[in-house]
Amino acid sequence: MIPSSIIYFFITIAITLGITVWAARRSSSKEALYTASSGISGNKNGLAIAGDFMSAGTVLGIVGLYFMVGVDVSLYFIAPIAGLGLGLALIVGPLRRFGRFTLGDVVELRLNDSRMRIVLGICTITISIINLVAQMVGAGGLISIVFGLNFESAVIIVGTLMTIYVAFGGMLAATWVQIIKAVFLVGSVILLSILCVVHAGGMGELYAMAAEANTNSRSLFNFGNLDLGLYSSASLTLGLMLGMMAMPHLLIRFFTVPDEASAQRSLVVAITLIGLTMGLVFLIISPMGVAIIGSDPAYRDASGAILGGSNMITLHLARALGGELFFGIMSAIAFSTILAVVAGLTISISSASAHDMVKSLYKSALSEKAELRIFRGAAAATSAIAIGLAILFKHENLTFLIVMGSSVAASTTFPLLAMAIYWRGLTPNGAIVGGAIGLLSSVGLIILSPAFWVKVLGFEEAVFPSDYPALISVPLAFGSAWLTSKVSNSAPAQKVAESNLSG
Amino acid sequence: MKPRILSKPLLITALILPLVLFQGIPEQIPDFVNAFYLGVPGTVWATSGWFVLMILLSWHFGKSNTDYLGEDQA
Repeated sequence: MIPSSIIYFFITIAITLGITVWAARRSSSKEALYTASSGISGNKNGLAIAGDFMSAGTVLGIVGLYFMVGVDVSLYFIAPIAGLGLGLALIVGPLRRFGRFTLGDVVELRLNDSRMRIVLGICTITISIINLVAQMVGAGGLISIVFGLNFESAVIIVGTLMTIYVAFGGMLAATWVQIIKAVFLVGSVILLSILCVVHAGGMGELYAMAAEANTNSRSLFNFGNLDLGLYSSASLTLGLMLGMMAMPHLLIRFFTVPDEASAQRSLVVAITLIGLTMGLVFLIISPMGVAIIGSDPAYRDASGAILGGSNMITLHLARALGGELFFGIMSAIAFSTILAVVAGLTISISSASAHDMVKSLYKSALSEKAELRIFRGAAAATSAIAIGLAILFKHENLTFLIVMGSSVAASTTFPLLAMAIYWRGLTPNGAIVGGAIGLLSSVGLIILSPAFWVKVLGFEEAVFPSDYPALISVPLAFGSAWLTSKVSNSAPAQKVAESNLSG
Repeated sequence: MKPRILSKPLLITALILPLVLFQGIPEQIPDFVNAFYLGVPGTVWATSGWFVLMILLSWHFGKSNTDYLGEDQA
């Protein structure tokens, strides 16, 4: 008999490809491919943003990490949710008004210098590639466990599908895949939470079961299991907060809505959905995973580790409480989550390549047809590079990769966007120096950190003592942009005329 | 940056600061944070309250931001 997860695997592929065919018939122009012609409503975009945030790594990873460090895991989603709140307060409205297709539009409009596109293009591609590799590494591991494929086949399938979605269906296909997945994900999390509480007989009983099943030496319900120290705690929080409000694949979603008010509306919807869903994951599903899966030897291998790794706890729990059918549905949702998120990341890389990088470097005017060819070519190239890097980094720690992407975003796109929007004194030279210093310092400190210098390169002692660079690299980026703007002779930022605003 | 805009990031930073301190210097956490209330840990109650507050704040930000739609805020 064919396992239910395999059946749902093929159903997921069929549904997502069906959406792509439907979207491809409506996506012949640049506007359609890059931004779904800005025709997505605020509520639907809110669902898509929630879907982007709640990747397989976030939902499955939070439950897995809770199993090891308990309530300390809250920092990994509370800081990004706070970042979304900051984004709502500071970035989203002006971003939608100044931009049309990419982040490069926003800074170029303010500084009136085409070199800004190259700076933002490099930052966007770097951040999105890091995130894409993280998602692909997670996808390869998850698919190989759930569907029985080997890692390499899994990442090749994901890479091929994401190229098809992006090259033919563009933003419209990626958005609808994300919306449908978000609805199923939120519904499944609610259903699983209800099953957990009913099984335990109440919240107090649920926490008593979790406390009894905990095999760690420390309590799951006290802070401090991560042993971060004050610098790393503050730096990790800063990186996750500012990084979340500067992630290019999330920010370009605000170009898919018609105006500034819809952009703000979409983030309010997203924060509400993310808050509710992650709240249930943290408050109910995570402790129940410890209580049921942690205490049952049937879910352990010979060495005592959880079967398939701790990221599988949510899926094991779905099977334990909801049977094979629910396990199959949850597996399909996890798979569609991966596909939707990698498609969004590929769009941000392809649009930055075609609309920012090539257009700026190519001196004569580029026709729309040529730009779309570059967009599709960039999607295929991104897929090939991501497959190669995912295979190369398949043993790398997922949390480290995600935090790395977030730290680089916090140190590059965030300072550039914030200063371009709020400081009239920013000059093109200041933006270039600030972006370069932010990129070099964040990547440099990550390379010198224990997670890379010791664990990847094999040196005995790290040059930089923490894995989290944001507390140093973010002020460096802001400071160098400010200083260069003050001393350079280039023209400062200008007031944006109403006639130039797109929203 | 105008004061009405600056107040929002300052408020969010103030809200997340206790979590940074709890994670950074856990030995300084008061006992009542780690105690159980109605069978549920205090840390879990605190996190739940934070979720509710953040959702309410985002609704407030979404509503108040519409007061200055269309302005160049530099």
